[in-house]
Amino acid sequence: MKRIRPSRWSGQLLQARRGAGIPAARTPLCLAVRCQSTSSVPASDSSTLDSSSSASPPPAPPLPAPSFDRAPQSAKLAALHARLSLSKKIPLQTLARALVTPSADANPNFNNANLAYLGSTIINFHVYEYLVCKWPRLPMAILYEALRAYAGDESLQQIARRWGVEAAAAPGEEVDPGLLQWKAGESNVVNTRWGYIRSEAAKGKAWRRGLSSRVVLDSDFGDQVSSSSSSSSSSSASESERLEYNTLQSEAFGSVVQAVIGAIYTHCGRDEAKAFVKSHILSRELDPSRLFQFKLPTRELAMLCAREGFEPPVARLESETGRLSRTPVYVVGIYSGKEKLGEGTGASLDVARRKACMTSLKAWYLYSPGNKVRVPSDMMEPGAKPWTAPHIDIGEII
Amino acid sequence: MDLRSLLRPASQLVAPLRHLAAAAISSSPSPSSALLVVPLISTRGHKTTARTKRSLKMAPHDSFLPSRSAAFPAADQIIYNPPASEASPEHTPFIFLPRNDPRRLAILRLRNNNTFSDPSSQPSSSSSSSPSSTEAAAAAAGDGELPPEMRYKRRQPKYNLTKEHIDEMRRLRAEDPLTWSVQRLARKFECSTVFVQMAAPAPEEHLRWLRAKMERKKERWGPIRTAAREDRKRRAEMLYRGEL
Amino acid sequence: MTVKALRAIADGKCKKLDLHYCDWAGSSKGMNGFIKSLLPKFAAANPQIEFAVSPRPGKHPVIVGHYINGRTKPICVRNLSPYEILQKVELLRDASGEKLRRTNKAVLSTKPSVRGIWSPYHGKGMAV
Repeated sequence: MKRIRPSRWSGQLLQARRGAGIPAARTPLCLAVRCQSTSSVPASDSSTLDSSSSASPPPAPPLPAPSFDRAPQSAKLAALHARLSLSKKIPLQTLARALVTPSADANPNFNNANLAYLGSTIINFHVYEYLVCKWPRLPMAILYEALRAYAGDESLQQIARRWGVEAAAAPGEEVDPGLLQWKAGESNVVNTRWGYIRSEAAKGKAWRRGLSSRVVLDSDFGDQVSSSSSSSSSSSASESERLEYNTLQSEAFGSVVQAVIGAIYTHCGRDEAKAFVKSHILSRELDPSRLFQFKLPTRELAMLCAREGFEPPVARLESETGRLSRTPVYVVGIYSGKEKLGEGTGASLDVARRKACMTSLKAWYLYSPGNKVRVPSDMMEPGAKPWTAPHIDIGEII
Repeated sequence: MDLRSLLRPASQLVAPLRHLAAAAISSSPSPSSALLVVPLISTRGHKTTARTKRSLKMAPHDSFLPSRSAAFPAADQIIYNPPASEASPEHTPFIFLPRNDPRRLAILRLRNNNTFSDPSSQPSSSSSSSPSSTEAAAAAAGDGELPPEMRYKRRQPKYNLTKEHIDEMRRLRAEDPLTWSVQRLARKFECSTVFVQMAAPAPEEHLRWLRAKMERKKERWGPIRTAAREDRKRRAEMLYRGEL
Repeated sequence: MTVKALRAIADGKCKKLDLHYCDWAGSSKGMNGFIKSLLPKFAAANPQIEFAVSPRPGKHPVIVGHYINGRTKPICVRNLSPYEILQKVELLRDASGEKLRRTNKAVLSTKPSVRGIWSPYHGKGMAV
């Protein structure tokens, strides 16, 4: 796992530096109008600035997203704030900023990119530590998919929709700040993913990525970080367009959840953020046994038994019916010595044996110390009990 | 087949039995003989749904009930009645449990108790009626009560080949790959075909010739055989994904 | 590896209530009274709901509930007294947004059964 220190970043990321990151195309007047961030400048300051600037005759070009000083007037924002039962410490302006994606407003002082990045590190940290402690023997590939099932963009989009977040038809200044501001088709320049752009990626598909290099080089979900998000090799143009629209949409909705958690971390602290992640993300249901896809289960099980010093696995026919009929059923159990490892049913002896092997392997991988596992971040609570090391597995079967 | 011709003898068979039973009741009106008749003329259906349900209601099996051997508030006990269903992979088998897992210690304790108490009669109250728990079964099935082994091809490593053997194998394969085929070499050196393929690969032109031969063979396949092969491949993938 | 979409548990909640009234029509008399007297307190007690009050001249008064699952529930409240309307609003607030359907199972759960699916090839059988 990568070492992340979100506590150090939060200050820098959220501090708005005057004029930093603002594109050169912006007029200085516009800069004067919008030179506040939700976090650094108090609201009274903004009103004086606004009144002074409104006196100047030339009309400012419309803002790409609603101004944050309209946030307290939005009924939608207040309702969302109350629905999530957020703390009073989180101002409505921050919540409004969490709803502005980089595709609507490219200025990082006014969009949610920084908050979302902070939030995603917190989510991934808590989900990872939970997964590693709950299922210590999960292979790395399954762990990545389990993380994606909890904290991937599609799942976060579901969460955001369940919160009642709606997208605006098109982002703009006049839109209610309680609506999600995003639009598709805009190239996303802000890189919100942590990872390295590999030099070997130019070789294409012929080049093989190992799993251990994914841990170090790739993004949190084990995906390759590319310089430009170009999706190709799809069947038809409309199909690929639709796919791209869906990914952009789920990214936009997912960034809201991440940004809200980032805001909670910034305003309320670590414990509140953890409790929020626990109740909104880790409370969801995931069946990890559905994530497996095997290649040679019989061989893998034999290797496992050899590695662990068990007796070699033997398939035994437990019961059968209709051997000479069109639809026979065989129940095959896998035994190591006298211990039963798993069983499977199938319409042929071979299928039943392979299924039994797969069940046995799943039984190995899905070992869990219990439903109430302690995770490392539990130790940060005051008055925590002394730490007992969780079960640590020696690794995957090679 | 005509179903009616089958049904009629059956009803004819039942009819004299019914007479017999009636005669038995009339001659000796004992309740046991009357009970014997019941299965023959039993009806599952009743006039109303409520009556049908009431008549089909059964008392729970003994294994679901606490033991009545002691007086009622005797002691707390666990009713262990394993389900008649396929075990889920969520239940980690005994040998897969790590050394410090409390479940491992509990199962070990249970097994030790069972082995001590087994030679005598079974005093264990609740699980005695259904000893089909995996742990108890594994402990009890120590002496050859396991189900029969299946016959399938299993890897039995022999490690019988030396460097000279492999050199010889390579020489033969390079000399005449047609006569010294993979199967023949495997038979000669008593090793697996995979090992021959790894240790002594054929020359490139021979492989190309083999591939071309296979291609020609595949071209002769009709649509049915091609589809069947594809389906088989897809089925295997589904199996490995756990969808089958 | 396959990505498994998580099971979406329909968590219906009211997110918005539209209240439509008419200044002129007599059928809106109760609605106008409700908006003046009871609505502020009700809205303050339910901050999670967005309230939108808008005129709809020449029409009967209507309350429309918008739910998180995307469904809406409109209720016409013509000629109702303010307290009857309050009952309707509470009904909309407490509704899940799902279609009303009969529940004839005691337990609804997304978890798999603890004892598994019965199979004739397992267990010792039971003599009846």
